Amino acid sequence: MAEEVKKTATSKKSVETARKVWPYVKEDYAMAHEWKAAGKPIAWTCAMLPKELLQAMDVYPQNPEHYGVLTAMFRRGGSKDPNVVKEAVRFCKLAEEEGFASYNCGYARATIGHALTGDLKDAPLGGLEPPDMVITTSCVCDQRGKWLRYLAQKFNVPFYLIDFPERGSDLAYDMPGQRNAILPYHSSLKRGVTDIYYSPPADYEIDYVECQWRDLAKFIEDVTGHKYDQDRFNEVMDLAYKTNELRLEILEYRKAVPAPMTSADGLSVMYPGTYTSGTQRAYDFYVELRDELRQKVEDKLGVIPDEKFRMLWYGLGPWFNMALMNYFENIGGVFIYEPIYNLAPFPPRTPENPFRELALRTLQQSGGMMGPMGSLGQTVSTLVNAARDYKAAGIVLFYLITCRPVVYPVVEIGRVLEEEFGIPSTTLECDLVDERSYNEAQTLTRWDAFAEQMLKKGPVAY
Amino acid sequence: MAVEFKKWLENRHDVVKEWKEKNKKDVFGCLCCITPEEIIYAADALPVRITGSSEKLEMVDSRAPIYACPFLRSCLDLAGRGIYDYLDGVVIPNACDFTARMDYWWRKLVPRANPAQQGVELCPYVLYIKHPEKIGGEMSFNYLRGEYRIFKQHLERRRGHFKPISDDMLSNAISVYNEHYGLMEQLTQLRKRGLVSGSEAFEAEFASLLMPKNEHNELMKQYLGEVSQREPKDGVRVYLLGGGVDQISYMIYKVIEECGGNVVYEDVGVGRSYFGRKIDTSKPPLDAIIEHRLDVRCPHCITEDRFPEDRFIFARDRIEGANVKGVMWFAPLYCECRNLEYPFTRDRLKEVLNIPALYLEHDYTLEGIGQLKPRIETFMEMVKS
Repeated sequence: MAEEVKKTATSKKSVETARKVWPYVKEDYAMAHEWKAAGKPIAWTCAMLPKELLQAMDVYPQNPEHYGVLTAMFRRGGSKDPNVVKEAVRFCKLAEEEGFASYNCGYARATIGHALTGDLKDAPLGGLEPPDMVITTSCVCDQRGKWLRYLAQKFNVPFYLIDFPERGSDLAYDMPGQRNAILPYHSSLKRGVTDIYYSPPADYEIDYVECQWRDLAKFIEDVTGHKYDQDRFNEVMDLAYKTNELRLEILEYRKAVPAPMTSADGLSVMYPGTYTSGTQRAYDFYVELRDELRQKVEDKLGVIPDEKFRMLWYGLGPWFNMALMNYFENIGGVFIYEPIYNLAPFPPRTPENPFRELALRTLQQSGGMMGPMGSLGQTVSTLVNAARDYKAAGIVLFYLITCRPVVYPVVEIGRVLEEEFGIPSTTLECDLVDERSYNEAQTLTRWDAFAEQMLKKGPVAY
Repeated sequence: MAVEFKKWLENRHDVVKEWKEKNKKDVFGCLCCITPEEIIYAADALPVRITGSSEKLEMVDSRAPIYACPFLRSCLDLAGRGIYDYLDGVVIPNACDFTARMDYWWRKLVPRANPAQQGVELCPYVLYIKHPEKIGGEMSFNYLRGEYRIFKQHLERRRGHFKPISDDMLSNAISVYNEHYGLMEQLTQLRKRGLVSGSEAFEAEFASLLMPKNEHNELMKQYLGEVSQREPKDGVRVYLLGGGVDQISYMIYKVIEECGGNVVYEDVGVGRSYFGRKIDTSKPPLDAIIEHRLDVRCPHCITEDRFPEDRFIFARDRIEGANVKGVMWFAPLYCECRNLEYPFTRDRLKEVLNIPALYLEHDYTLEGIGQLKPRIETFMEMVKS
């Protein structure tokens, strides 16, 4: 039976700076090809693993998971013929034929399939370059350890996993040095209450991650011969810190009513900070974005002229059809915020021990502020906070069937927001790059019903 | 003796409740081999493995998505229905993405208020342990020591009374558990000689996860004496890998036996399949327990090797000398840790040992497991030829 032809479209841009992401990405891949051609080392790595150490040690990071995104956007040879399957589908099928189950992450299947073709260059943007090493983290999900390990095995290159503990407590407050919740338990969050309890990780937790960062520097020295230089590391850490401050400022502007930027663009402009953190290019990008948003907010320019309801987007992007995220705009609905990829405030700069600083930062990331990174209760709390801070009246939950950390909290987020805060939700149910799992008719029927509900409900009084 | 083991498997909730009533002691439910049972035992409580059931799910869908491990969903469903209400605590390690989140679901499905001071529970009803995902070396040892110290402290404070767990108490627990590990090693050797079938051995061992180890040790000594007198009886020798194997899904052993095979060794997240050695008694007891647990090759964990092939090496070491003819992966649906290891390990088993592998996905239902039979029969024919 012929496979159903899927509609595909890119999202509409709500800010001019978002148009610069694609040239930025293309330049990144072109630079990787040049880097490799010059005989310099490339590491395959992933989001949520800060790139600062790699940048400081002249190792070029390439990110299979981002490459998975690209394969969802392109057909073979750049074809525009909708009868030609997307590269993600072609690669996922190869991975499944090899024995990787179809319930595995679409990013994993797509990039394993890409590796299995035996010709990395025959793929969008000239493909990933063969890695000299693979560096991953336990943060976010089990897949990122095991999938990247397989890729290291496949290319027979050294492998390093840095473990960021998932600090799993949902307690409202705990004693410093013991189990610490970063966000209060969601049921204690009532509208208007803004207290957030911060308590630092225990020494043994920080020591564990700090030792691993130091060990990673040694690993890179062993593999590449490049020597670790603390001054150079601090320069990169400075840039990353300043970049994150810009990103936090941008998030503040995004709270404005009317919304100056959509979640579709939020999922796009995350690229420089997520994958090229610690570079001047990333910093410059966010200066431009911050300035544009500041102007829009001052001018009270919203994404759509008549904003009727504001929504959160939970989960990653449906990369094969990002236009879905503009679906509600013609009736006044706008996605205003997506917690994923948006970083929490960094700990203060500590130039005398940047490894410990990075340990603290990465422990915070895995502690729940990032949504699916931490325990389920903290994920729910993150969404409750976001709904209040961004004045959301509804939420679309990406029921991402192949992403365990995103899908596990979905039922509970929907239940808590509806029952405890009166915020309704609907879902998008599919993989994030493998469009075979997507049913447009069913999705849009659900979304139309949700839109009617939102229009009747009107804005929430926060 | 096999009947006694079966009693604990088949009536697990009733016999544990009877034991609790009779002994007036606490019972802690545990998930996964990485839970340090010895510390619970030293705290004068009974650690029991949490398992699922073949009954229809009633509660879990209201909290957790359907795209998740059917075995763990069944465990949660039982919790929500009150079947595990006799537990005084639940220990949840981060054995996979789903298990790591079970602390939240368990709290929501089974709300309990334990004694607290200034908002801090002295011993939470659900105890979470973050086991390092990267194992090996001083870093993960020091980290896990921090986790176990908190775990031990919580157990010492349970019910609001401070009852310290001394090194002597830990050492006594270690000696009981070491005896258990030794007996399990004897059982393994008998299996390799064809004196005990895989299904029978599983029943004997799984009972040890539901009853006090000292009582189990006594039963095992009698049992081993009995079975060592048997005549060898064997089938095609199989090594089984997988997860979600308990008193329900171990039916796979029986299906394999019906197809002319016999599981002589396994790596299924249960007992002996991970504990290949005793706890070192020359070291401080808590440190020795930590080392022992860090030796567990849970598929969630990754060794610190720069060129890792740990699952293959783990299998190779166990298969050695056992005349294994085939390997079967019996992984629950959505078990990505197991699935992601399969292609590489399958290829290495074939390249290095010339042993073929078969992947069997299960949905944790007796019907689903029964339906695997034709594929197993075909595999057996292929292996024999």
